[in-house]
Amino acid sequence: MTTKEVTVRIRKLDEKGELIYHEYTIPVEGEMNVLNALEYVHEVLDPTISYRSSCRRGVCGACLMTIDGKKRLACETLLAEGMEIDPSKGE
Amino acid sequence: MQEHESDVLIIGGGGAGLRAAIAAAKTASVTVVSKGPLGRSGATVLSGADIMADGASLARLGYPNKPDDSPEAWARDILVEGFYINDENLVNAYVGGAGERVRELLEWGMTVRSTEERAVITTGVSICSALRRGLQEQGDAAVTRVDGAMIIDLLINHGRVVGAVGVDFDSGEILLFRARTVVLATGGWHQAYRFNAGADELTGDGQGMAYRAGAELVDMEMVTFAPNILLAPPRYRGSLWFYILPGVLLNKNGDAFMNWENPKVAKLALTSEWNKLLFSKASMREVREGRGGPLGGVFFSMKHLPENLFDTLAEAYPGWRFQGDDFSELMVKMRTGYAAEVGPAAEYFEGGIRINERCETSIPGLYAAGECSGGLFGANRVAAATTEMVVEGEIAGREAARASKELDLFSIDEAALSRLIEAQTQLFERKGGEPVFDLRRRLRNIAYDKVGVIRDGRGLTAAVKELEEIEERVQSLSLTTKRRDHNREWMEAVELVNMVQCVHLTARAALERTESRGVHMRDDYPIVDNLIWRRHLIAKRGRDGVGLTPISVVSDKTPPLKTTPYEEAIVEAAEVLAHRRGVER
Repeated sequence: MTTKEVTVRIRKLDEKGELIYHEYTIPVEGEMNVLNALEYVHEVLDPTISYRSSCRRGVCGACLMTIDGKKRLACETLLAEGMEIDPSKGE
Repeated sequence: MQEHESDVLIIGGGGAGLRAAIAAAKTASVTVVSKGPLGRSGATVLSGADIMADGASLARLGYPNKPDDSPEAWARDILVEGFYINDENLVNAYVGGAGERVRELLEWGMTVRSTEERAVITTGVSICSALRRGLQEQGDAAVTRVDGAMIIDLLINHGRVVGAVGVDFDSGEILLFRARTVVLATGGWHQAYRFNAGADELTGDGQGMAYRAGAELVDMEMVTFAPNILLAPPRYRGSLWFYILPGVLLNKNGDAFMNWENPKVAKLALTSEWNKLLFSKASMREVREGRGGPLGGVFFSMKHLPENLFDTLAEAYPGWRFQGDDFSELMVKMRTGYAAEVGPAAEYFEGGIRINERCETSIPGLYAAGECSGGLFGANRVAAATTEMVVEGEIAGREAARASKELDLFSIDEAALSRLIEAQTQLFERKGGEPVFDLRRRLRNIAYDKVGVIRDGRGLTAAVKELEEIEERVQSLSLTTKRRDHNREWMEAVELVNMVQCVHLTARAALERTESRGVHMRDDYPIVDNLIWRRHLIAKRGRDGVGLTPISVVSDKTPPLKTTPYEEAIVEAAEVLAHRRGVER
């Protein structure tokens, strides 16, 4: 396993209630999906990002969000450099 | 504050909550609160899934099964599997209700892929669809759905449940639910373990709020771990993929360690959910004795599988897809001899809120159904949890609706409500409190390492001490996220309190039970002690913390009154079950 880094932009509510993209750099150990990245950011870098998740296995649909302009499941989308992730835009 | 009022309030949006809603809506007004969308929340959609009933019932439904089987014969097996500490009233309700619950699921469109002894094989998704159709048949207005909301605590007045307080995730608004009766259907506390195979919302909320309300919990030390769960890479962590595939478990030296000395034990391990207990204990034995992998697991290899059999398997899983995951690249590596690191992960909770055969808890008006309840499976669940979910869901919904007709809407204890709301406000206003995630990480490690698959007095004592400290510290959590709407951190803070309580009760009960039984394996007490420990441990909140009371199991079906080495007890159980099958055939 090689440790490398990926930088992504995640949209979140700021204190004034505006949805703004912020940039985060995530260490990558083994294949990660977007949900893994959101978890890392939420737990380690910025607890104020928010998203929904449930089954983690692509069955329940809870983590449907906009990733690079497309509606996708965060748990079934592989993480890639420069991704733009908007958890606020789901169904 | 938004207010809701109904005869019955159901908390939990998985299969048990949904089935309870169907039953309750026949005669009562119903509100269902769920963290996720109703019928897609919780463990149900991910279940395997076999759904079980006795052979005679399945034969009557037209599925190949043993027509001379009976609910009574099945119940006798469940007692052996549960190491004779099952609550027999619950077992009788389970085997008695199973056939009818399977029949109605079929009527609601559940698809059947194949049949096994006492089971039809379907999917969790199909069960959920069938249950949703069952609810539709009650009419669209049958229940008020409150999705995307979390219940924080139950409201109790004069010893009776009168409703609950929650929060809406999107708006951050506090929700007040008034109800005549309440059904808890919130599942297990999977997320309290570093490695688990549960959905994210399974955080012991029902057990936590029931405990705080003064309800009795039972058998909290009994936790099933599923073996062969992928530990890495992160995208696959927690998947049951290798649990369902044929493989060989190796330690870090490449030695296969599953050696079946007794063919009957081997049969249990290879043909039933006994595999969870047997493989998990053996895997953790390797890890504890220093023969595990870098992530704390063991290795799963498919190298033994001849090419053509690998091809057959590939046909069964087109594109190497399982659930929503695509394993094709990993399977290319597996075919060429790669061994993936896997390990036991928390998967099912035998223990939980204590109920009787009407799903009543020890608090008047409060019911519990499905995995959040305890006592049915004793020390080891082998029979299907999906059946438990629909049988208990139906009973709890029906009973809660019936009872609601005899009860007035009780008043709310305004002082208690204010205290609850104030405690939530404190999460936002407290300066320099405890951060959620450091404590959660610590909890998950303690739970998995010291209150996990194999336990001992030293580890459990240390765990209890640490858990008491964490329990103290979660009283003064503070949030970084100051907005109330869409506040995931807030939900996680509430969940953390519930998870700490569940693990603490598990650790206390596991320490108290100085023997091994079923999924509870104590390295320092490797004997099944039927002289002393054919007992439940009842946990209840006392003035000075956790109160634990052992109570004897009431039954006329008794195990051999002796102590038996743990491994021998498993062999004995295997032989009893094999003998019965032989005789009944």
